[in-house]
Amino acid sequence: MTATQTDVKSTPLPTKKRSLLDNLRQLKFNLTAVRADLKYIRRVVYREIKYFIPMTDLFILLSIVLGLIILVLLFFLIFVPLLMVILDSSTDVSAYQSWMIDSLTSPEVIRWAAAIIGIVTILIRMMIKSPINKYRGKVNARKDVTYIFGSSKPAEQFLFEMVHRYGYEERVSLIADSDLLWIRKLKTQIDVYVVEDMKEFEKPNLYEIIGFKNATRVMILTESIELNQNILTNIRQVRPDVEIILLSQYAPNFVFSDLVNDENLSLIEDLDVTVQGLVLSLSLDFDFPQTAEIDIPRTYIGKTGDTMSSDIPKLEVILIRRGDELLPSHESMRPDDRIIVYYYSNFDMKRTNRVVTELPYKKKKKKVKKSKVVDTHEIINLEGSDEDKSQSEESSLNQANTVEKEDL
Amino acid sequence: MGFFKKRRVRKFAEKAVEQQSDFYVFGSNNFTEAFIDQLLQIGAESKVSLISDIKLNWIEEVKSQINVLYEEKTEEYAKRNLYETLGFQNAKKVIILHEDPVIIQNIMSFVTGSDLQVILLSQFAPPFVKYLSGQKPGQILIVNNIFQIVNELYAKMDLPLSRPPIISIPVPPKLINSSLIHVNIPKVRILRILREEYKKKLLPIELPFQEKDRLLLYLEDSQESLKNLVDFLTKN
Repeated sequence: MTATQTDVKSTPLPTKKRSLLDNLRQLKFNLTAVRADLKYIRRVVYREIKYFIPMTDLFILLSIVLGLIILVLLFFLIFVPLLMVILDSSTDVSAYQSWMIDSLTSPEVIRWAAAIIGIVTILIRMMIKSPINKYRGKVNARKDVTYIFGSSKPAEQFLFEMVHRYGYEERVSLIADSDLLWIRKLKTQIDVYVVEDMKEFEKPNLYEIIGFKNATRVMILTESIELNQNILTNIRQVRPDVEIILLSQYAPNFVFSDLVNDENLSLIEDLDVTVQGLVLSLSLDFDFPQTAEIDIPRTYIGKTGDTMSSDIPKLEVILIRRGDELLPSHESMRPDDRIIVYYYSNFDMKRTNRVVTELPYKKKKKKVKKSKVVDTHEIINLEGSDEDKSQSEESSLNQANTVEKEDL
Repeated sequence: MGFFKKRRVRKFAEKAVEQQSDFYVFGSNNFTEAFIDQLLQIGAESKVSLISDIKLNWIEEVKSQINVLYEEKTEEYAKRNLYETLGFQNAKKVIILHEDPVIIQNIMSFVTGSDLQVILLSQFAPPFVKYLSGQKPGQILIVNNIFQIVNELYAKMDLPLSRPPIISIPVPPKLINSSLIHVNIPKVRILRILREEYKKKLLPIELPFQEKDRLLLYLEDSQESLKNLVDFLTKN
């Protein structure tokens, strides 16, 4: 555990010129990333259309009624006088038109017009939904949603990363207690409902309207213990089975009581985590760098981590995880491996993770059997002869080729 | 009355010097309670002095074990006199766990003038502290508890993405201009050098270190790895 001081002169970093093949591979990854983005966008657009369909029906009905009225007016004011002129040139068209205008502006017709306008206004008002109904309609059009309550720093950081760094917009929805700027910005990306009056959190109506039928979990991240208590008890009335997550520093005291036996209530021990960090900081100046562990993008199966790093400029593969083993980035990657990456930009991280989540690698059982690969972990455990190794590498490459064919 | 007050603070300062207190903790909230409790558990009671803004039962209970000063008037935190009387002799670190940004700002503006290292929680750190920490790296340490809380939230999400146990630390001063090729810290994997010249970049560990470099480390076992790492750093 001692450091040997070796005088190493500062050497310039080796720079490799990119070949045509390298550029083609990079282009292929970029195209895959676009495809993944399009897949996501298509789903979002479909959801929006599905949400707007009931509204479009009403719009069509209204436009048909308006169109008919315009047609009738055109018929009596333009078409009929024209016909009259054609049939009999001596007819006084101006007298007919003035008679028609007089009858259209008669009190009876105006009364009818006012009544029609009133009906149309009522229909339009029926179409415009209240913000909570609009939120309910949109959020319920999705499956498996994690609802987040609050506008605290942990909520902000968590949502920022989920949306802007990793691209999991569809998995989360926010019910905020204040209309902050970061929340307004998020509204374009995820479904957000801002509760205007804090007293709403106490009443069951809010929870009954939203329903939380598609909730996989609810994270209560407000900074008020009282508010958390209200949310917790009301959610339990609507969804007794859903997992609820609370921060221990803002958890109401009754959840620590022996009387509460809620299996689906999880506490994040943030107090313990923070104190551990504080104690560690007394002896160590440490920081958390921007790293993440993800699956391998399908276009890089059979290639090395370094190759991937050279293709994606603001993302670097630093380790490859194969089961419990950690391998250096110059090893070639297999389908079951995971990679640990350091990222310089949120954009590249989000793009890469979207490829992994939207276009995951699918094993084709028949083809796998043909190439004699059942489980990559078994191959690692064997660690036998070079022949075995080359066979397994070959099979990984076969699988990679399969993916490439699928891509095409 | 002012005379007695000054005497109270002076008495506290004298006791801190007598006990050779390394850490001065400002605060009284749940984090302070849990942190003091942890320090008592590891037997560091003599090294800590607590300055609280409120009289609470838990503080009364630990008063027999640690040096405590109650400074309930928030205006006092804005006066230089308090810090001059406290003196911070022998002190190595000042830990601010207050939630009120005004108190944090006041403490910071009088404490950061000295060579003391100031430790804060990112949850309560006002924006100007982040600016200051950029100006004085090493002297202001922000414990990123938000990152750790968010990590815990991620673990609950069942995502195909996870956050690996990787940290970065400054290069030990003895290793500057040398390389880490032959260094072996059990349960700790040295991954890359993180160097910031205009923008951040990762470099292989074979290169010689520069003064402001940081090391990217993978901790294979959270407790044991950290223990080994601290051992290694105290030797270097």
